[in-house]
Amino acid sequence: MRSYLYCPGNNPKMIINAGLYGADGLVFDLEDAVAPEKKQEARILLSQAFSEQIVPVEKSVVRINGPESDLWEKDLKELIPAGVRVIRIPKVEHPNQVQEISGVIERIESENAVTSGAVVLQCILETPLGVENVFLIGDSSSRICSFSFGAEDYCNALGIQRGQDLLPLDYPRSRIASAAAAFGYSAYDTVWGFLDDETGLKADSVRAKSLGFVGKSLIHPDQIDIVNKVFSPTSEELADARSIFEKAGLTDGGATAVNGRMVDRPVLQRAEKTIRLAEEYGVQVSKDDK
Amino acid sequence: MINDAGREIPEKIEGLGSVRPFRKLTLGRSDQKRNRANIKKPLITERVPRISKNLEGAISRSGLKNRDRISFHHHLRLGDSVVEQVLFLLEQMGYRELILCVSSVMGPATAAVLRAVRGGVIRRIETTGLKSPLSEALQAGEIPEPVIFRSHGGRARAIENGETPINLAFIAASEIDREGNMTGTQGINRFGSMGYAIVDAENAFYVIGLTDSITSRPLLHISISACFVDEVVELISIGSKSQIAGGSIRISRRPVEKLIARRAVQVLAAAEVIKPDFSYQSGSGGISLLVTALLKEYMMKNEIVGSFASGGVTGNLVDLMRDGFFDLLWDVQSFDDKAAVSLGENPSHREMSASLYANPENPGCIAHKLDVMILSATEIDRDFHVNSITGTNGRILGALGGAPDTAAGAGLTIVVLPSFRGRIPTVNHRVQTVCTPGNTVDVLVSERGIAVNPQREDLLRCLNDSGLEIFPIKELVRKVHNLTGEPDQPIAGNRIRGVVEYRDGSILDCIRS
Repeated sequence: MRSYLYCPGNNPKMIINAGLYGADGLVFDLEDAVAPEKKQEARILLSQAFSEQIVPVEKSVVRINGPESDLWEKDLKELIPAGVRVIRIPKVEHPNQVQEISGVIERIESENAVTSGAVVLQCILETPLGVENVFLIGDSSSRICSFSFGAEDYCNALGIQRGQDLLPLDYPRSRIASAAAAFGYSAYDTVWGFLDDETGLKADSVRAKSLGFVGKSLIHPDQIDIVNKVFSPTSEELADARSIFEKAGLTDGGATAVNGRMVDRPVLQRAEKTIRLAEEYGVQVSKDDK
Repeated sequence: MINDAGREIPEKIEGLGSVRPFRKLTLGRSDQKRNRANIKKPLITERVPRISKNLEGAISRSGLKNRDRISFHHHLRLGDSVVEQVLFLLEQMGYRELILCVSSVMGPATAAVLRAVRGGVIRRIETTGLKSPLSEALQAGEIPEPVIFRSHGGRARAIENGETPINLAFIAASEIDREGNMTGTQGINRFGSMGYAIVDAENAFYVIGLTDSITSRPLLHISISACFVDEVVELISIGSKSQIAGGSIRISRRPVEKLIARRAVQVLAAAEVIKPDFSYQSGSGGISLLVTALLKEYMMKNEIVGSFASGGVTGNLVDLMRDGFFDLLWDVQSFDDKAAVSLGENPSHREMSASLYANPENPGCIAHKLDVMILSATEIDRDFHVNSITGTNGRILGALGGAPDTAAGAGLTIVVLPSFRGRIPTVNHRVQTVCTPGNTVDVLVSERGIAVNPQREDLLRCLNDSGLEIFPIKELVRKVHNLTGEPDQPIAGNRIRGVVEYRDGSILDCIRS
């Protein structure tokens, strides 16, 4: 998933339309986007949207309320029976939070004849403590499939401003991406909140990609095209990968040189991955790169 | 009897007499020669029109009688105070049972017209559209005779060929010179094109020009020549400047509207109609403006210059012409002050009368030269019939405008429409009121998919080849109703309260109580 578009869980019109804009994934939110008095209304709306398949269930995630709240269990009880299979947990700081949530999910799966382990988790790390504990968190449950970074709370905690200067976020991003790779999880980057700043969005996405993230969370459909493009292989990368793959295939599997560069097993694997992603995202080699 | 739009039409309508049902073969293009018998001859009794501040005296001199037809234009938009002043005076003067023939009724004029209806001054209204509270009065049966809804082209046709002779035209101008020439581009209350009023001026038996600015200097831009003006009356004010000028129109950020606009441009590109010298018209709604903005990007990228853009003109369209994307603008109505200023200054920005714009009997009609028309609507049905007057719930919301004219004339007519508003579906089995017949509509673009009129096999092939996903319109109806549920049909009474006339004068549909 290159792009995960957030959608408030209590807005029927947005819920119905969220799947139309071309985001790879959707995150229906029960946490910050929903006022406390609207939480139950949002649970009912989302459970109906999932059970009646009004939303594209196979690419939809629900962000539940945080582990520190007393709301997340109600979220799970309402939504898992309705068909939600990917849960995004905000503000994860300790492994035991994930273990507690996993335990409740296990029970709900059992009570509702859902295959054990069918529900998977995305953990959002958005505090310095969460970022520091990311490796321990990653090892806390077999349900985890990805990490996400949440920069706004992280910046608040450190007293730094979010903006054009991307350097302050290199550390948490690298730490999260590296931990994700250690477990074979995907890493998704934080949202870009400046709606009119497309240049900033692109720069922020490029930076995240360079540090190992495979996609980004979004707050507006206008951001989808930019983010999808950044997190897709470029035409040049695809041409390069094909060249590597074709020429290396002629050798006996050992290291070789292609276009003046050493190609060994990791390089070949990266080329294979680039070709696979390009096929998935419809990227083609332009005339200039042939 | 049933007409070609599938609608039950009575043979006679109270107050109107016999009716001619809509037949789709003609597309509203008439073979008839224009009847020029009623075209007015320039006055020769006086060298220049009489200028006074006495409106009552001018009306008296016009020879207006009870049951005659009077006319207004709606170029002053939401700032109009002329209709109110005139109707109040007509009531004071004791006039009864007049026919009001107006290009549209909106803003303060609606309450003034309603008052005149209730006071017995007006018995019938002929218009392209009307707004609340007049719309509720129509549906409640307060207007003695059925309201006739005519498109801009249909109105021009009916006036020019003598079908609806105007006895007295009240024409507001933002400035009039001492010779009686009128303009909408000068004066404090400038509003731009006087396109709808030109037909009235040229054909009414008596014309009273109304303004709050009389100048002794020559006008830089003349909309209506003095030879068509019998008297000029100076008013204290013709309206409210801020409401007349309109605000600058912002491009919508609504994701659904952007998605529809993007798809519409994809359709235009796939249909290969955006090519050198193509001509284009769109409405002033949010999606239409977005289509125009995206079209500009496409034209820039592909280095295409169009021949003309037409219709109601906005500042955005003015920018497009100034930036070299179109050679000409044909302006029947200026939507904002930027357009009004441009019309007065730029020779490539041209004023057109409603007749030149859309009259089906006018051989030079601009609507018939259009390559592309982008239409908005209140709903559309599986026969591609478009409703632009009533909502799905039967309430009057909009107007005919020039939609039937441009749809009939354009090479490619695209309806851009969100598939529901609030919880009300807009893509339905059967529209409440047929305003633009489906045989003149080619494509529906909504956020839930694109549908092509099966009559346009060429277009269907072209769009399928381009890789765009096309749905049968019945499939789109099903998809939308799956989300919204089937809408309840409003229960219509037997009394006919409004008549939708097609541009050739035949009857498309009736609005019942």
